Amino acid sequence: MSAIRSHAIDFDRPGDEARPMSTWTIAARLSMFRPGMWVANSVAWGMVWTLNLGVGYVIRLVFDRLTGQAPVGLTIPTLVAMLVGVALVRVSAIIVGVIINTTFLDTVRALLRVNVLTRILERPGAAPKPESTGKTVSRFRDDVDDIGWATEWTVDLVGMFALMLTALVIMARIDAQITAVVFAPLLIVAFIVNVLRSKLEHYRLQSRTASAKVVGFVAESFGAIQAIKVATAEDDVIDHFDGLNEVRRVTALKDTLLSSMLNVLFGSVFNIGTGLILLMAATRMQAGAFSVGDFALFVLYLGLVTDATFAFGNVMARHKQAAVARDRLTRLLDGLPSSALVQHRPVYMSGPAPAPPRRVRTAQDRLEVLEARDLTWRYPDSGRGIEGVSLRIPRGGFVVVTGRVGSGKTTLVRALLGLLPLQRGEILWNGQILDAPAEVLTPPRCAYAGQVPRLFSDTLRDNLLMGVPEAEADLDRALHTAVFGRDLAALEDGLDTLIGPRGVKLSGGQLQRAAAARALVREPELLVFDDLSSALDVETEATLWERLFDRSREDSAEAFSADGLPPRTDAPACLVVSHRHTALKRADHIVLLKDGRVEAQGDLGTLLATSEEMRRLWEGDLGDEDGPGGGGQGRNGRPGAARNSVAVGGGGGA
Amino acid sequence: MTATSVPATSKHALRDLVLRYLRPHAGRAALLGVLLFGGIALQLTIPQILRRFIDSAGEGAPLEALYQLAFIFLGVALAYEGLMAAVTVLGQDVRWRATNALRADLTRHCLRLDMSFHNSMTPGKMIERVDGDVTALSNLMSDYSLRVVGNVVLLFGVLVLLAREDWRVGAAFAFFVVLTLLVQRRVVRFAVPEWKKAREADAELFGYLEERLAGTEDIRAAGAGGWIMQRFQDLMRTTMQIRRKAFLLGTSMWISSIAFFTLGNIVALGIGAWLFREGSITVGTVYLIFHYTEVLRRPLEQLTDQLEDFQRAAGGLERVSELLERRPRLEAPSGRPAVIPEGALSVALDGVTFGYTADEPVLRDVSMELAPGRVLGLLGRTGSGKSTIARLLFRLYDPQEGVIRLGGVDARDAEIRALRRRVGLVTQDVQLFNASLRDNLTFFDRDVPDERVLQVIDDLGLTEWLETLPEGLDSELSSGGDGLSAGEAQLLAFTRVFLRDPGIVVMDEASSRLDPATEQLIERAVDRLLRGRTGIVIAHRLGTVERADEILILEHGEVREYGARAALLADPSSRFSELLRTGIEEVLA
Repeated sequence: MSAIRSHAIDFDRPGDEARPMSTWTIAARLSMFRPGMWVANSVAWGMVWTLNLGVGYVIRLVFDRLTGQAPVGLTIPTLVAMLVGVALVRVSAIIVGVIINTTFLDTVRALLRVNVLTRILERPGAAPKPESTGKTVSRFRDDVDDIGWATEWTVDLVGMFALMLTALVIMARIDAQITAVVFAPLLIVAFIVNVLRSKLEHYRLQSRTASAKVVGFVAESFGAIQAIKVATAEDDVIDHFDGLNEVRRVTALKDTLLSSMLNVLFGSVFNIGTGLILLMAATRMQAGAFSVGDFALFVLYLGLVTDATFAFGNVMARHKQAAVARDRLTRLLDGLPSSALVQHRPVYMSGPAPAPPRRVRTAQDRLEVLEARDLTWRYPDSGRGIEGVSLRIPRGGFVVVTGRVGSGKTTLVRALLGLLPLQRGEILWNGQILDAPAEVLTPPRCAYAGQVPRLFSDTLRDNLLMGVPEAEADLDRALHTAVFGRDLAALEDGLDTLIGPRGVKLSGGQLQRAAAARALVREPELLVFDDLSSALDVETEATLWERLFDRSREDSAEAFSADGLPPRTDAPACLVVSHRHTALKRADHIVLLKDGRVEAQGDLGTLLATSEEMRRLWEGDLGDEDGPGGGGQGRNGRPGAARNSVAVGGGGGA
Repeated sequence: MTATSVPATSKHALRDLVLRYLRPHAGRAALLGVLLFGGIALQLTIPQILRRFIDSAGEGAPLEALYQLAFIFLGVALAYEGLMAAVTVLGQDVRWRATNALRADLTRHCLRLDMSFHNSMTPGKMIERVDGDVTALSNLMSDYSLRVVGNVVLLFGVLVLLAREDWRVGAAFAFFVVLTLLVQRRVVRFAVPEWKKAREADAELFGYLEERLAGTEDIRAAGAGGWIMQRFQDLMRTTMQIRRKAFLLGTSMWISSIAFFTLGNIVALGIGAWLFREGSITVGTVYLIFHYTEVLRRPLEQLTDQLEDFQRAAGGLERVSELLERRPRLEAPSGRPAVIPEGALSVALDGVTFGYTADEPVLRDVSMELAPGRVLGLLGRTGSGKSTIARLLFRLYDPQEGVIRLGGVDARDAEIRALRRRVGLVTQDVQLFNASLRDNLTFFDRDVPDERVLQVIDDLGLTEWLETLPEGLDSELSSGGDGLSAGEAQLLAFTRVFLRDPGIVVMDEASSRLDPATEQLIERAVDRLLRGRTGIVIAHRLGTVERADEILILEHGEVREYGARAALLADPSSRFSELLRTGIEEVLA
């Protein structure tokens, strides 16, 4: 037994990429995903921002009217009507803006999520994940939001610049000197604050990490609820949770402390600005060169411009946050550059997404022989795995991988199917080296039922089909072959029963048989089963083998083919991980693993005669089923002799 | 005054909830109050200074007087900013303390709920409930009520100061404020159900994602990536539609606020102009009225914001209290709980009938009696109800009919946790946490000394393995147990049970994943574990039950055969003998 250190740690390094795409470029790329929407959004929010200046202008006119400095003709009712008009236009802009903005933001978020999920589904499915599922979910939620906001705020940036510029021009025309004096400190402080904000990011990052830990732990705890209950560990789990929460509070507080100090700075700028207006206006007002209306306008605009620079600072902060989010999302891309996050690809926000293209069975998909040479894959931390394993599976062959716990059996089948990235070695399909085994060793070539299969919260039907059109699949037969018939009859709504975490819980054996049915529905050339014995009793397992081979015989008779493609008329090849006698006896070829290497290969008789390890495994299984003896005789003729082989084996033990 | 968008019961639920979690922080809250009201006083002073300035400038007062006013303004305004910053930080602190307590309580509560509850929940959904909803509530959980009070005080302050200028101004603005709040009280109701739907849609989306992320191996192997993505896109689209509606209705508050401030400006300037022309106020006072309208903007808008927070939180609150009100269906014993004796325990099932749904029994009229220290071998096909018996022994469920007795005590009369402490379980699936190896073995129980953990590891012959770990017991495991073989994981499960020293040990197909060679490694340790304890060994395989004293064969939830192993072995007509003799063929016939 060796190391089991977390892989999560290794992926937790920030900034793996030498020159990641800047968040501004990311925002730009995302904006250009729906350019029309971005422009419309900017116009709408630009109006929402700048129309506030109009209100200030009218109010100045009202004061000037009172003190007799306004142009004649502007009566108070006219001015009131102007105020109402400005408000109406602004409200319309808000309504339009919200509709466009939500659509825009969600489209952008959808693109990010689709890009990341596509990559996750592309990478070897069983390879260690960069992060726990709980954390990954929070990446899809919080980090995607961060980048979404950073993109969305570019829209407001346009509005804010428009506001600042307009305000400056209006104020300068009233009194250029006061305008200059008031604005100078404002811009300086805005600059200082933006520099300080980078400090803030350090704390924000810590606070985010602490949050992710809390969320991850919630997911784990409720995922392991039965174990916790049985161990009456509720209180200790809560203590641990409390600890994580406390770290989160402290980090969040540091974050708040710094940001409210920045707020004080900003508030002070406004107040100092107002103070300066008072000081400078004192002499001018006495001289009648600066009206009460001018004063009102300056104070109002100062407030609006301060708000705008603050919002400008917010955009900067959003982008700093987005940089953290980008790095974390990039880590989920497993080697792809951050630019892959914003790659444009179809996102369907206005109508249903189309069904994905089906992989059509071609002549090349017909299995003649699958070979693996020198397969090597080791877990990065523990160094465990497989080393230099070679094997060969001919058409219709029944190959069993066996060995003791930790000898690398599961790793071998995963590596062979491209579910783990190969570190060395090659895989040949009909003699041709495969460049990307993961992409081609899927249905209709290979189908796989893992040791602990997962079904999703969905109907049984959808869990089995998973996108295979129902018309092209023979569900009934797959279920029969997988010995699921009796279980199906017990389910209230049959194939429409909701199963998975949120539906009916299936037992371990039912899960494996359902997974076997899922593989069978795909009519593969090669069936791969990882240790069905772990949750199936001997009898059920034997039935499954029998039906599989009976079925193959029927296949050759019927030449069944629902999809109209070249049908597979004989038995599928099988690669099976097992240490059960039933399977070993049936095997054409056995690969015996020890410590990740091939200890011996051959048929059962040979191995028993030549390998001490094989004998130990075989003897150790004493009493498991039908006892020793029976030896290699029963495993020969398939598929026709399959049924017999079990009977012979059973008889031998009695 | 704001808690009107939800039914009265929720209003009370909210108040109770908030008070319960804020009470421990009363000292901080008091300080918060002092700072806040100091800030309000300063804020009310500022327009008065500005009025003096304008009128003084108009009357041609000496420049020094004007400069003096300008500096007074600066001092007051800056002090105000400082106070507000302190209020924010202190408020955040209270908020995190209170919400963390709620998070912990909620988690604790949920952990104690029955399995029937958990079976209906995904971890992703639990994240939304325990963290998402509470975060939405966090605005209410903090300085919320204080800020509400502060804003109300500010409103009254402004109205009083306005009335001091002229009663008509005070009256007009009192009317304005009341109208604003009345209308906004209605407007706020608009979006509540939409926010709730939006949060649910989010939970749905992330629940979907969470499951699929955990199942990438299966998706990949089934070649179903495209299909998973298609469904994901459809889910995101529906979520967007729901969110868009919620946001759109959410702007109703903003829009009404704009409407009211336009109205406020019109009232201020209209009444100001009228009184100015009448000669009863100065232009400085017109500015004062106008400026106070601006001062009103903050509390009214904040009250609006607080209403909006309330809107958002209302959905969360409803679900949080719904969750908190949920009671475990397994009832605690009425009266004093019975005490389960020490040492090895007898196990008795008496006419037990049980189904996960009432009309579909998984076990029918199962009876058996196992003396302390004896070992029972439980046999049966997959799905015959063996694992269900184990779950009943832990009282994860109660039987619909019949009684289960441990050490002679009816399981329903004992305190659940006391009962579970006396029973140990080794399952086939071992759930690991992203935490240290120590925490994984002790289940975060810090009272277990390292020596004991190391002793158990040594007993199991795992010391050599432990030494390969770079940081020993401090090594972090990943939550999926990546890099750990099923056999290793199961050995860790054995360690967990060894550490707890129970009176009954249930092994649910414990050795099924262990190859014979590794099984040897723990065989001795299992023997030791069963010594002085009652054992129930569940397996499909006959070999696994060799150490059993008694055998029980289940078929379709009913007892097919039950008796001493030796006796059954001796009787050639027994089902057990038959199984041993003919192997597998018969059973399936």
